[in-house]
Amino acid sequence: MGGKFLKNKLEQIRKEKGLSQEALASKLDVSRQTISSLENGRYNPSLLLAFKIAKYFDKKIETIFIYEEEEQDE
Amino acid sequence: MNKKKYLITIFLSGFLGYFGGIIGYTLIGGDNKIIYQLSGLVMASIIGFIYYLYSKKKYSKELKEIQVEQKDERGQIIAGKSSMYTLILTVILSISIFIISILIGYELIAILIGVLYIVILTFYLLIHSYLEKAY
Repeated sequence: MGGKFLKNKLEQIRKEKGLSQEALASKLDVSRQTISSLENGRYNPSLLLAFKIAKYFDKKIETIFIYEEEEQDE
Repeated sequence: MNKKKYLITIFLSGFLGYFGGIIGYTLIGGDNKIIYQLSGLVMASIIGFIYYLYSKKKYSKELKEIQVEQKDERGQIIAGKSSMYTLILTVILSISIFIISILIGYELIAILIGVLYIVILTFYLLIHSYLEKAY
């Protein structure tokens, strides 16, 4: 919330598994609004939540969350 | 019943308990102002608690939703930021009232606001110091 946000493929991966936002939220013990904010890029998850998501989908964190270096003006 | 309606019913049960308490105290002939308010607060707490126990089984899904939202990390960040902004606005408001009170000659209010401001600042510094060591 505030600052740079990670891009992610959470929505795509969730839909591949046939899960609703509510179902995924329930599995991860978070609110549906948190999943929605993550997918819309409005919120960066904590490290713990990122690991939980990665473990749930059996993928690496880097596969789901994409960190891009900011381009610096020369 | 959805979560919002559940929260409204919890509030209403406490509200009705409050009025039940003050009406009950009045009916038994009580005239102490402090006990009058306390009876309302005590009855509101009792009725609210009884309703909570009753609703634990009946509305377990809504209660679980509320518990999840309380533990939810995004929700906690929002609550923390809300508290911070509320504190900032309260301090700004109290400083404004302090200045206005001095200008219009209500020194007592200005002194009370000043004391309140010092108490708030002291609490903030103590909590900040504690959290610095804890984290």
